[in-house]
Amino acid sequence: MLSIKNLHATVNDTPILKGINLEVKAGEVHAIMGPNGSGKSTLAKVIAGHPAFEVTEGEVLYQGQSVLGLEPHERSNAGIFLAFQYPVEIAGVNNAEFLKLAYNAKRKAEGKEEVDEAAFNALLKEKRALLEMDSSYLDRAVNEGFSGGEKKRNEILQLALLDPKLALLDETDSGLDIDALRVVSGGVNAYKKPDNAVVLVTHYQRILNYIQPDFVHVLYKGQIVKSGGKELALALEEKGYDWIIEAEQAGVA
Amino acid sequence: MNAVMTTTANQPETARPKTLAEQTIAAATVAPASVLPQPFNRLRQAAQNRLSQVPFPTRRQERYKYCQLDGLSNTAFESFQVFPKISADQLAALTLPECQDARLVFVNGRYQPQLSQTKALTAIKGFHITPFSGMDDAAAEALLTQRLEAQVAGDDNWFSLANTALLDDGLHIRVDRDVVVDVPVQLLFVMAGADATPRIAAPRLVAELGPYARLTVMEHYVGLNNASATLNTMGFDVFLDDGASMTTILFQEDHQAGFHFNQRRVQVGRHAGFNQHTLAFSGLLSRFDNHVTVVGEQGDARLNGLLLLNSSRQSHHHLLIDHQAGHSTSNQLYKSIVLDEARGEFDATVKIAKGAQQTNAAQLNKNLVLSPLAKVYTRPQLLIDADDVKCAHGATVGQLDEEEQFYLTSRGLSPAQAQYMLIDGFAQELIDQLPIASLHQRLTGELQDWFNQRFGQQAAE
Ligand SMILES: Nc1ncnc2c1ncn2[C@@H]1O[C@H](COP(=O)(O)OP(=O)(O)OP(=O)(O)O)[C@@H](O)[C@H]1O
Ligand SMILES: [Mg+2]
Repeated sequence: MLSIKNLHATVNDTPILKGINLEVKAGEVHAIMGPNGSGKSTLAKVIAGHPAFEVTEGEVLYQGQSVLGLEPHERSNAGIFLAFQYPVEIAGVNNAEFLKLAYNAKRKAEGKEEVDEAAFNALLKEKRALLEMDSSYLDRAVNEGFSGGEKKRNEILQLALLDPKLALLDETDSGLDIDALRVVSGGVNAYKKPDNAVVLVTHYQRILNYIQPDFVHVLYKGQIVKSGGKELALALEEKGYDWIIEAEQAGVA
Repeated sequence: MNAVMTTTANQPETARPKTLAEQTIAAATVAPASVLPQPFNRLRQAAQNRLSQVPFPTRRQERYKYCQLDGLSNTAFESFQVFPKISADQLAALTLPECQDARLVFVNGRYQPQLSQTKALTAIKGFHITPFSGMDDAAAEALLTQRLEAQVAGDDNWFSLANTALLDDGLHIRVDRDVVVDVPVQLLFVMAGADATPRIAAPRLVAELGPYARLTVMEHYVGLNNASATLNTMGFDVFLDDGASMTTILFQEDHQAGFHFNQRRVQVGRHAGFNQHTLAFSGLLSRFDNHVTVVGEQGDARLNGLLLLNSSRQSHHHLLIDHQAGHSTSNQLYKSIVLDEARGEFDATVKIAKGAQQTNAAQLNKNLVLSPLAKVYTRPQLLIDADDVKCAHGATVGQLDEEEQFYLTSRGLSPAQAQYMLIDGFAQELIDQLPIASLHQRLTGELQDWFNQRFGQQAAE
């Protein structure tokens, strides 16, 4: 599904990613953890095609093809989805209208006919029910004035609607209360199928109780310094990152 | 009303050669407007005299610094003596669905009762429309002495003087005390081309609202069959008595070679409210001088503006909100979207007089500059002499937000779709506030066409 090889990326000539390697197969859930500023969001945005980052070395293959030459919308149409750590508020752009355009863009990319208002509303209603979101969010501008938790729900609503092949979830659990965490995790689990994959960035083991990872990776200073199974997340929760960082530095030295 | 347009150009300039525009307009003003009652000739004469002392503006003057006037000053304008026939179909196409029976038409500066539809208006008791030509001398005399004459002597605005010097058959609108005009009135100002001669027009409107009266109008400026340059010098005087409320939508759809200099003086009484929505989309060069004086306590003035400018259009918006009474409020929200080599200007001053305590004023100007050669000039200013007031002002100039574009495109929207959504979102804040429903769809459509023209089809579907 996703194959990242020796990926280096910079922002304004400052190196952020310094040789990432990652293999994600269909049906898998990968968790990425790591201290603040280590490059987790950068990795997710580089995969999604954010123009602020420049890839200076390495490759990102998705379904066997390089995506580095593709525009963000082309990557999206190919099935890559990023749930943002900080979803932006877009004044004046109606949320329902935006969701419909996004859904129809995907239909078009799949060579299917665009759906009309009624058909879309029915689908949207079903997905909203899944995320326990009432219709009041639809009349508002995209994310404008949404609470932190509401923004995250809106991201997963989009995930549910667009049903991508590869979901990159950047700290979707941050800022969620207990109930919201359950609902949002439920949304992700409903989406999860054998033919798609999830890369989930998080700081907390908590969400991994709901969404079971097959692999856990630790990203530190732009590199993956340790990978393991879900027990690694538990160890991190208990011991923090120091032991890994020290081991890493000892190894380098 | 003793308010004066403030420009620095006041000294007689004998040595300065007159521009072509000036010379020809001077010639045009000589012919008296036979259609008007006698007192109006006195008003015209006063403006002509004053005009001979006020020089044609140049970019050396602060207030015209950003106005590219060359095309205007080098054109030989003649007065409109011709009023080409306009078909019923043409008019119908220009009429808003809400205004079918409330449409007042001006052609080339002159009010045209036979083209106007007043069915819905004559039904309203206490709503009066009187063409200047239909006034008796006493009524004309009263209008001059009470409303129009005093401002001429101190006027430094060349275009407003030209409007008065060339005065043709204008319209006086009066709404009596407590009368609510519940249909919007479309004031259609047509510049109808006749031949290849550049023409100047001088439409003039006076609105007086009695205490607690209410009125909504749409000033709609359009061009028809224009084969040459035109210069519109529209003048509008508004007087709002205590508690009166007026809303005007100023929709500018001038033709490609249209110069438009629009001067308005508004007087807002106690508890009265003036709302204006300017939509500047077209023409070659336009300039709007809005002078609003809040003379009564708790008077309120709200001026919105949406500028959508492409090609090498220029649109200059000058506002002076003069708070002379306390507890009054004013609010300005102007947004512009500029492309290509277009120029937009927002030059707005809020003045708060010493005694006007507890006044609350806000100015905000936001600009989207979408091409490297497009430019906006923004200057929101506060001149405050009172000490207990609340004021806020701000301006932003920028491009479309990269993070917002990324968010939208990461959901599969094409870059053009994303840009359109952001531009539309930027404009909707103002479009949403328009009190005439059919305009929402109309303007959204116009924005779409405008965008598609620039960024290619299918984006704004
Ligand atoms: N647009 C940018 N301009 C400048 N620096 C940036 C930019 N984006 C990211 N960075 C820097 O890159 C580094 C990695 O940031 P990133 O957001 O990827 O970290 P993260 O691992 O997601 O952290 P967190 O856990 O706090 O979300 C940080 O030092 C950050 O300041
Ligand atoms: Mg992050």
